[in-house]
Parts: sequence; structure tokens; C-alpha cells
Amino acid sequence: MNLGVREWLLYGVMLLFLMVLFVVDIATKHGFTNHVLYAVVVLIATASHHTWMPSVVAGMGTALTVIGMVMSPATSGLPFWMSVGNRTFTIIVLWILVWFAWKRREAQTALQKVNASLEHKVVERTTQLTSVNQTLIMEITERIQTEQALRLSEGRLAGILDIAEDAIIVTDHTRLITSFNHGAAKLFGYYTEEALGHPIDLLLPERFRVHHASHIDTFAGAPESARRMAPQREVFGLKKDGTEFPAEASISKLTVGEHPTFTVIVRDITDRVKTERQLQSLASELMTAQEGERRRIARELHDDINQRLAMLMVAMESLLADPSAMTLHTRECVQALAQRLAKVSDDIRRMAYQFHPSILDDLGLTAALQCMADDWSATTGIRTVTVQEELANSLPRDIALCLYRVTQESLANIMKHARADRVELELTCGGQEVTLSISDTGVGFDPETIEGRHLGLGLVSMRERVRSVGGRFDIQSKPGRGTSIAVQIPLSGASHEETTSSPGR
Amino acid sequence: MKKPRVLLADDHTFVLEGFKKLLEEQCDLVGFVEDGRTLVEVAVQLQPDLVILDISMPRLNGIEAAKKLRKQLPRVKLIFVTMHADSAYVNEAFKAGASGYLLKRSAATELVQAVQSAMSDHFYVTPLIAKDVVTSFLKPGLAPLPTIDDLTARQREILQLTAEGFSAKEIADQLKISHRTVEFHKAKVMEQLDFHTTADLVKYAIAHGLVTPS
Repeated sequence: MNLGVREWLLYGVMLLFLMVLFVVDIATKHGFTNHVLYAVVVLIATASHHTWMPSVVAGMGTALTVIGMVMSPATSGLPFWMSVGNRTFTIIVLWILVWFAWKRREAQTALQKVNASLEHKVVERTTQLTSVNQTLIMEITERIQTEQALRLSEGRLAGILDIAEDAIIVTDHTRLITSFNHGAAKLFGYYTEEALGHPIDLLLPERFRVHHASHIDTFAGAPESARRMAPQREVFGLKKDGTEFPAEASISKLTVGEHPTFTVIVRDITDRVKTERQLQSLASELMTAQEGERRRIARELHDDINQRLAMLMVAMESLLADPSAMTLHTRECVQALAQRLAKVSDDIRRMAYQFHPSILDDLGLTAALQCMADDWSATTGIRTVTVQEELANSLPRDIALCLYRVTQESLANIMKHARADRVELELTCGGQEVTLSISDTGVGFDPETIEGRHLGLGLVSMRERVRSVGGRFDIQSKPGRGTSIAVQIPLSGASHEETTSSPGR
Repeated sequence: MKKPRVLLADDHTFVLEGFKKLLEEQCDLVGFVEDGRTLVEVAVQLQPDLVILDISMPRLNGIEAAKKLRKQLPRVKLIFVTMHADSAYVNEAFKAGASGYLLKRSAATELVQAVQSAMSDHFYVTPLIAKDVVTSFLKPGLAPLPTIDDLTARQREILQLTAEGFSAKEIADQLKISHRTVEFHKAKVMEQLDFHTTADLVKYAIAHGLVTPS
């Protein structure tokens, strides 16, 4: 129903009631309290949507009650105060009703307000929930995408790990194996499942375990993220069947969260090491064979052919000593022949000396070096300063020959390349090793660039020669700063090579 | 005059044959040996007046054999007849106690003369190499007094550190070489410069500006 119509209807009903009640009131005598029915109209007024309506009706009711008291016919025997009391009661009732109506309306308003705010809150909350929901959906999508990418990446990595020939092993910060690829399984002989969860020590020979742990700790704290393991020493791995193999290992670390994880790549270099050893021993055998052959040829030339030539000359001179044996002309011819023979003999002697310096066997290394230095100085005009310690015991033949050849090669290099004006040659025998050093004041060179070029081969052969008698060869040079070569050879028989590399099992 | 008793040592039989022919008139050839070790043994038995020997011989070379011989038979004369013309060989030969040194190729004309010289307590060096020998003997005498230039860089380092008051051990630690090597260099420098005390070394180092006097 229309609000306005209902209101006007209400007004009409209330007016009608008021008029009827008033007429009844003034028609009845005092003592009938029908005026109290005004309260009904006040109650009806509470139905109006105007809050003031009950008050207006109550006001009208009060007025009509007072007027009614004046106009109603008196009742005999009824005291006046009783009539006044009745009417006062009615008025009080009317206003009590107004008060109640007002209270009720107030409570309603408050309730409405609460309702309204509740609704507002609900709307707000719903909006929030919707946005949270959207975010969640986005996050879930993102996560799914990330997971897919991760799975793809993992798949790729797994593929790489699977086909890699090298052993690739991942450990956590407590050195427990968390990943072990096919290559590792093949190399070490463990199934992947067997290795997972075990300390990496499982794959190391016992003597390396303590060191390895401390190396890893150092590396964990180091700034670089990857390094080659022990590049200067040999590393060994331990297979399931207890055999060891020489290895080349690199390690990298990745720190996600608090603790780093380590990835180790291990490669079996047994074959490489074997080949290197074979090459080295082959080179050394070759050199020994070459020296042996040279010595043989030298001996042949010097000790046999040259001796025979000398004896031929002795025979010729004996012939010449007898003046009656030949004519003057023949004598001159024989003399010329003898001179030519002497020349040939000299040439053969020089040749033999090049093949093998017999002075080394006859007079020892110090005399041989002094002789070589003096001859070289005389030929080149370059000053040599030689300081040699007399060796208490004669050196083993191979060591003496090695030092002699190194000196020979060095002096030849100095003559060809160095443009030096002074060479210092020192041979000392401190403690258990013999040390040879040769330094010049020449133009020097950059060792980085010269290796492999014309000087390179000579250096390689010197180095190899020294290595084959267990010694150490160092060359230091800078452009403009001269060159110095140092050779140290242990005399006790223990070689540098063996003391610097890890012993086998 | 009594013929000298001669022992011949050479590992080539045809050389021995040749020498035999050259010497048999003048000498009493008591024996022939073919290596250094046998030479010493036989010489001690036969007590020859003179030994003619080569340097390059198996088992024990002529120089070493000569040293041993001189110890056991101080009065025996030694003549080297070899193929080696280097003055280093000649030096070593005379250090080992030789009385003569000649080359095989001139043996025919010189051997008898060398034997005679040796037997009359003279020395004989073949004219073929006499020039080299004399030059090499003269070299140290002709050279000016040793200078700082005759020292190697290492020797100068050690000289400087010694003058600065470091002990041989401290020097060895600094230069990362053995203690013995430092001692060797120090002794060698003293010998080269003809010094007898460390004080001389210090003075020399100061004089040559290696150290400044404190």
C-alpha cells in the first residue's frame, strides 16, 4: 500500500476515534473513565512513520480529557478530586505511552543503524574476499607455470646428467650425497640408490678424507663459486670394489637459503696418466738410447779410428826418420800426407767430442764445464764467470751428462739469441743435491710467448733431460732482464717427481 | 847407462805394438797392460822405472791410475801418450804427477826423447800443444787482480749479506739455498780475493759500495 494513503487513512481513523471518544466522554457523567481510551489512539499513532505523531495525539488527548472534565455532567455523590484523579491518570497513561513509543522508535533506529553498518561491513568483506581470491588464482597459475618450467629444467638437467660421461655428484653442506648420475654410477660402481644419503667419503681413499673435508670447508667460505680440485696434485677416487683411480675433479657451490650445496665433476684420468707416463718414459728412453748411441759412435771414432790414424802417422814418421829409405820427392809427398792425416785426425776428434764429451768420463764434470766455458768464451768473446764446487764424490754418469748437455744447450742459446756480454755459471753441491745455474745479461725473453717457438724445443728437451734424472728445471726470463736457468738434481736417488706427486697405493 | 824398466798401458793392442817397436832398443819393456786398474796392480808388482800410459782407458782412467800409482810408487816416472790435446787434460796429467805429455800422432819422433827427459828428471810437453799449455798457465798471472766483476751475482749477494752481519745460516734462509752452499761461496770469495778474515770481506764490501758503513 502507498505510504501516503496509509498515513492519511491513519490520520482519519485517529481523528474519528478522538471525536467519538470525546462525544462519548462529554455525554457520560463524571466517574466513568472512558476517556482512558484515548490511549488506544496514541497506540494507533505509533503506527505513523512520523516519530512526533504519538506526541501530537497524546497532546490532543490531554486537551480533550481536560475539556471533557469541564463539559461532562456531574454525578451526585462523587467527590470532585476523584474525577480530577481519574483524568490525571488518563493523561499520565497517555504520556507514558508516548515515552514508550519514543523509546521503541529509538531502539528501532539504533537497530536500523546497526543493520546498515553490518551490511556495509559485509559488502566490504566480500570485496576483500573477491580480491584475495583473484590474487590466489593468479598465484596458483604462476605456481603451475613455475612448476612446469622447473619440471622442464629438471628434465633437461636429468637428461644432461644421464648422458654425461663424467661422474656428476651433488652433496649438501654436511657432505651427504644428494645426487649421483649414471656417469658416477658407472665410474664408482655404486647404484645411484646405494650412494644417495652417504657421505662423499664413500668415494675417497681413506688417506684423503680428512684433507678433503677441510678443503670443502675452505671452499665453502671462499669467494669463488667454482674451482678445480688440487690442480697441482693428483686426486684419487675409490671404487666400490676397493680399487683406486687417478682423477681430475672440479667443484662448484650453490648457496640457496642458509647452506651451500656442492656439485662435483669427477673424470677418470687413468688412461691419460698412463699415456703421459709412457710418453715420458719413452722420451727418457729415447734420450738414453741416443746418448748411448752417441757414446758408442764417439768411442768408435775416437778410440778406434783415430788411434789407428795416429798409428799410421807413427808409421809414416818412422819411415821418414830413415833418410836412406826414399827420395826427396817421395819424402815431401809422405810429409804432406802425414799433415793431411793429422788434419783428418783432428776433425774426427772434434766430431767424436761433439757426439760424446770424453772429458766428462776422463776428468769429471767440473773440468768438463770449465773447459767448455773457456772454449765458448774464446769463440764468442762473451765473458764467462765460473764458480764450481769440487764435488766430493764423482757424480753418476747420467747426472753429469745431463748437467753438461744443459750447459751446452744454454750456452748455444745465449750465443744465438741473448746478445749477452756476461754469463755466470755456478755449480754447487749443497746437501743432498747438485745445483747448476746459468745466467746471462742478455736481452731475455717472455717465457709465456717463447714456449713452442724456436727456443721452445730446446727448453723442452732440457726440461725432459733433467726430469729423466729426477731433477727440477726452472727458467726465469724477462725481456731486457737476461735469462737464468736453474737445475737441481737430488743425489740420494729420490727424485723430485716422486716426492711432489702423491704416491700410489 | 842402464836401460830404464818401462811398463806400457793402452787399451789398443796395435798402439802397444807400435810403441814396442819405438822403444825396444832404448828400454827394457817389462810389461803391457790394457786398463787402469790392472796397471796399478801390475806396476806395484813389477816396480818399473817408468810408466807410459793413455788417459782414456777402461775400468780406471789414466789420470786416476796415475794418482794411485804416485801414492804407492812415489818415484815412478809417468808419461802420458794420448789423443787429447786440451790443456785441461795436460793440467790434470801434471797434477797427477806426470813427467811427460805427448800426442800419439807425434810419438814416433818424440817418445824416445820424452823418456830420456823423464829419466833425467826433466819434464817434456809435446811442442804440438806447448803453446796452449803455456798460455793457460799464464792466464791467471796475466789477468789483472781479481775484481768485483769476477764474482757472480750470488757471490756478491752473499758477500753483501755477510758484510751486513748476517750469519751463514741466516743468509741460507734468506736466499733459500743450503747452509753448505753459503759456506762454499764465502770460502770461494775469500780464496779468489786472497782474504783471510771476514773483516777483510767487510772492508772490501764497503770499499765497493755493496754496503754502507753504519
